[in-house]
Amino acid sequence: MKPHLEHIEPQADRVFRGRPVSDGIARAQAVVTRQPFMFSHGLDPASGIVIDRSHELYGRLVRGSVLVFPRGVGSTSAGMWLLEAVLQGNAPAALVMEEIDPVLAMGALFARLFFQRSLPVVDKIRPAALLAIRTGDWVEVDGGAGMVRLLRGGREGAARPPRGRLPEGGASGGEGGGCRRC
Amino acid sequence: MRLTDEEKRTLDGGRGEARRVAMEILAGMGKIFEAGRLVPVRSAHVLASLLNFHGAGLEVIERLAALGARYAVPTTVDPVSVSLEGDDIPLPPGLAERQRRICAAHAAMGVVPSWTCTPYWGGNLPGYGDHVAWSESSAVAFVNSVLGARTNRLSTGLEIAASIMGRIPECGLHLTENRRPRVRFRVEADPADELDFGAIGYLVGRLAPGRTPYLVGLPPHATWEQLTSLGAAAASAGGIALFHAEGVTAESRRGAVDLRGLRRAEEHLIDRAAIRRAVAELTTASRTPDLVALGCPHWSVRQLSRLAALLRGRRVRDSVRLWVYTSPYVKRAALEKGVAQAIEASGARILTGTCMVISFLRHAGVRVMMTDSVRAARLVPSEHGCEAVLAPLAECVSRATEAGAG
Repeated sequence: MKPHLEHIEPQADRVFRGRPVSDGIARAQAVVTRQPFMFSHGLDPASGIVIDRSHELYGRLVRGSVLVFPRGVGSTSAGMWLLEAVLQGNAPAALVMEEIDPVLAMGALFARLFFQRSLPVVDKIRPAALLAIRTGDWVEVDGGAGMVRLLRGGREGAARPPRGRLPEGGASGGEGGGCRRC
Repeated sequence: MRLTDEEKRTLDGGRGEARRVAMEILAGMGKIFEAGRLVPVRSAHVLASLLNFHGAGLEVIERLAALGARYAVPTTVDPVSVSLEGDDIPLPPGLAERQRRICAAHAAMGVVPSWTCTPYWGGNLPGYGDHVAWSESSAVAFVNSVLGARTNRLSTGLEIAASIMGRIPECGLHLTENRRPRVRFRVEADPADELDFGAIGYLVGRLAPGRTPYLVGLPPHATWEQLTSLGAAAASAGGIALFHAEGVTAESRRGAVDLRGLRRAEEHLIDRAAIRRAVAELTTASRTPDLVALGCPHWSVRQLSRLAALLRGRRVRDSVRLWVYTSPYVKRAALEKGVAQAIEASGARILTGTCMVISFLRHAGVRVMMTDSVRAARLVPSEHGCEAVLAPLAECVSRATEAGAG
């Protein structure tokens, strides 16, 4: 499904460069946390809801969002949890991190190698830039180029989404948000 | 990343499809992590729980097994979601079948059937400085820190590829410069048992997630069991893969920790009050437990012996279950020692090959789990939707039992 986002233009002063980790392009609203995020036993792949009770995002739907967080924590199965969420269509549309770890990188790599699915991932964004992204902002993540763009219509859009109909749970470009198994 | 001619040939498919796919995984990860080359590994430890694999992982591992993939180095395997005893929690047929298929794929690839998160008690014991490819975050923290072996926190799938190739990208904790501590912890708490050590690990993970800590003030005689508990909690709370403890862990005992970066590093104090707060934070209920679950990470023979001593002259109450998790070979040793019989005579069960974190406690009707494991208290409530009570071992035993012969 192609989201109707043509009216949202990137702002030149709001482009952040990071490191390309995993290819793909996604446009969606950001969910931002300063706390490390636990995918294993922390994100329910069947719903896309955060089930880690000790996390500030507990109970929140992160499906289809651009999840912005410092780093992953939890067990070394986190990559499979992420992969499963991708295949069930309940993963975030993209990940933006301070620093990826091998566990999560593998989830994105396996999605591409074994299932031809893309989950754009960019890491090593400057901490100051990470602070500039707020929950509800519309952002575009280009995993192949290592770029994160804050889109106009962003912050206001948190409460009132920009013009045009948006798919439920946030829009995503590319293949990031589709559902393969239902 | 530079590849040798043999590695290039493998990547081009000259060594078969299974090895080509495994090499593509390693090459992809090596590129992301800017590794210069692949290094040989001496052992691997892989995950197998269906909670770790889901449908996606099952598809991956069955595809690799069907391609004829074989583990090239000694490879032990983590616990699964049903006990080998098989009668603790009846799994829905679909889930049991999926778990069986994961185990069968591992078996086809030649895994050592250890079914434990503490394979070092059964002989997968990397040497100092060895490169290894281990999954299971608690075991990763142990082999890096206590043994001085070198592995990153590998995920399900990557350790499988590494074991098939006998190689891993040389990055992260495989390189000496990345093993340097970045944050200092002063422990003024005289930690005495696994609960104390676990609470310290939890605090380290919460206060310095993702960083390598340097702990001062741990007792030099800290046991492997205690250090297992510390690492397991630090891993689950903060993704920590390596900790140094002055005079205790492998690299510190050899004077091999590069302390230069610590001069201006932040320092945290962990005292008794902090430990008490951590235990209180992880205790989510005050209700009576219906399950007392011990053995996370999987217990050693020594821990089982201690439990047997605490259970002498007591029996498990009718209203509560006392389950203890360990590996098949530790249970076997405990049987030879007579310790396992003493434990089970009280009405407690020793379950092997699974644990409270990855088995389906909900299907067993568990609403409140009591444990002395900080890691279990951290993970079980999220995963199984039940409450946790965290308490010292003696208190767990007294809540679960009453006086009387078993």
